[in-house]
Order: sequence, then structure tokens, then C-alpha cells
Amino acid sequence: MTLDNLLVMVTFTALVAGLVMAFYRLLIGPSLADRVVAMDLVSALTISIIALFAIVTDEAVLLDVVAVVALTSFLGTIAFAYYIEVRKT
Amino acid sequence: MDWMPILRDVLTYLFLLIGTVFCLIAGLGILRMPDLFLRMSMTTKAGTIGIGSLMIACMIHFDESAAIAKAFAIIIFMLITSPVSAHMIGRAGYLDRDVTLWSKTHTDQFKSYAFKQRPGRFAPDDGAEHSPSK
Repeated sequence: MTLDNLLVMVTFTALVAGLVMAFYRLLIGPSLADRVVAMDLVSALTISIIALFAIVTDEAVLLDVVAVVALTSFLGTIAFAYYIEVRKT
Repeated sequence: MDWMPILRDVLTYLFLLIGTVFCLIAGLGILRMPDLFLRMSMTTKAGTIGIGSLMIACMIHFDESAAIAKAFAIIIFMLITSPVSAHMIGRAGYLDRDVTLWSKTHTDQFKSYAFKQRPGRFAPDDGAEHSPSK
């Protein structure tokens, strides 16, 4: 096992561990705002995994996917925040 | 010029490790922190510093100018949108009154403003200014 393989395995494992923790908070979150924050973190970790995959497989095209996922998660988070703020009025 | 690819690889993996450590700390923080706002203070760092240093790793690794420009645009976009979305969720979660603050919370300066904004969601004696003991 070379050092490259070891570093790639360590970084992928750490990112997937963070993803599992964010999904657990998404399941048990006490309020809706906790779940929205967890969903935001899930999309951020997805962006990280896609960027790491782009570096590992040497495909620069995947950066377009990163931009699209970032834009979509921002719009979803803003929509959820507006819904949380006005749903009880 | 034999050391140039080695230097590029070393810098790429250094920034990859920095970003991954920040993302892992964000995962741990969202699992272990006691409060919505403390959890948000962790995840926003994953959004800005974690993705930012991963994109810097992409900028070092890829050689084409198009990929570097795209990575730079993604860094700027995340730096703008991540605090905005954190601010919106924090404000909405506070005004929603479902979120309970941590029991050791010391200062709550937003309370009097929120009482003026949404008086129906608070108890009548919540309007007083809540300031730390001098």
C-alpha cells in the first residue's frame, strides 16, 4: 500500500463517518431546524466527497457537479428557513 | 525540475487533510453539541473552511485554467452563501420557539427584539431585557 492509497482511504473514511453522524442527527433531531442544519451538513459533506472523487479520478468535469449541488443546497436551506419562520403565523 | 510533481502532490494531500479534518469535526459537533446554535457554529465551518480547502486542493491538483476558475468560483460562492443560510436558519429557529437554549447559556440579547417581532409566541414576562449579571 502506497502513501497515496492510505491518504485517500483515510480521507474517504473520515468524510463518510461525518456523513453517518449527520444522518443520525437528521433522524433524531429534536426540532425541524436541527434537521435542516443536518441536511445542510449532509449536502456540504456530499460536496466534499465529490471534490475528493474529482481529485482521485483526475476528472475536472466533476467540479460542475459541485457547483450545482452547492447552489441547490443553498436554495433548499433558504426555502426551509422561510417555511420555519412563517409556518405558525 | 524533478521535484515539481512531488511538491504538487504533497500540497494537494495537505489541503485535502485539512478540509477532511474540518468536515469530521463538523460531523462530531453536530452529533455532540447540546444546542441548535452551537451545532450550527460547527457546520458552518465545514461549509466554509472544509470545502474551501478541498477546493484549494483541486486548484493545486488540476492543471487547466478552467478547473482553477471553477474551483475559485465555488470558494467565493460558499463564502457568501454559507453564513447567509446559517443566519436564516438561526433566526427562524429562534423565532420558532421549538428550540430550547442550552442550560448554561449566559447571554440572550436577541430576546427583546424577538419579543417585539413575534409577541404571540412568547410568555408575557419575556419582554424584559436579558443581560448578564455585572
